[in-house]
Amino acid sequence: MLAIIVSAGMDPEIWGGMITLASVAVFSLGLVLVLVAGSEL
Amino acid sequence: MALIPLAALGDRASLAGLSRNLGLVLIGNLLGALFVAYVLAVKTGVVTKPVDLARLGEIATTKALTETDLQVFLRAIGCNWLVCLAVWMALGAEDIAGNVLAIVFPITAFVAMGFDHVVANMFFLPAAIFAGVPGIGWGDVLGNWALAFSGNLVGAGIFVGGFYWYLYARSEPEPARPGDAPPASEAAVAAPDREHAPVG
Repeated sequence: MLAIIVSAGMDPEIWGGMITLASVAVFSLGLVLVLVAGSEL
Repeated sequence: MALIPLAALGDRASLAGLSRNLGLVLIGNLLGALFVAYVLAVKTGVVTKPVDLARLGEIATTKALTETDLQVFLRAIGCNWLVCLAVWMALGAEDIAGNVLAIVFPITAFVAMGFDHVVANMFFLPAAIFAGVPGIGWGDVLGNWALAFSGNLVGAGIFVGGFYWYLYARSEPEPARPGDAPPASEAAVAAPDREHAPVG
C-alpha cells in the first residue's frame, strides 16, 4: 500500500527509475518490519 | 518456505508438518492481505484517488494480465530466492541493525526487478479488484497465486533450503586424514578391554 502511495502520480518521463526506487524503499521498510517482528511469510 | 523444507531434509520435520505449516501460513497471510486490501486500502479511500488507482492498476495489470504464466513462475523463483536469502542472512545477525541490513538489500533487488511474491500479490491483486480496476478477474488472481506460490516454493525450498542443506547441514562422515585417531570401533579392536580380558 505504501509502495503505491509513494510512487503514484510520478510521471515516468520525468522521474524514470526514481519511481522504482521510491517503491523499493518503502516496500523494503515494510518487509523489514514484518521480519524483525518475527512474522511468518 | 526455506526453513521448514531445510528441517524436513534433515529429518527434523515431517512432510505432513511441512504441509500443515505452509497451509496455515498461507491462509493467515491471505486473510491478513484481504483485510488490508479491502478495509485499510480501499474502504478507507487510501488507494482510490485517481493517481493512486492508476498506479495500483498499473502494478496489478502487469502481474495478473501482462506477464505470461512462465514469467510469473520464473519471477516467483527469483523472488523467494532473494527473500529467503534475506531471512537466512538475518538469522546470522546479532542485533536489530544487523537484521535490517541483512534484509534491505535482497528485498530491494527483488522489488526493483519486479519479481512476484505470492503474499505481496495477495494484496495487490484483490486490492485492484476491490478498487474496481477493469479487466482483472478472480480467475486471473487465482492463476497468478498458484504460479507465484509454486515458483516461490521452488525458489525457497530448492535454491535456499535445498542448497544450504546440501552444503552445511547434510550429515556425512568426514574422510579420515593421516594422523587422525582411529574410529571408536577400530580402537576397541586394537586395544581390547583389559578388565574383562582372560587372566594368565
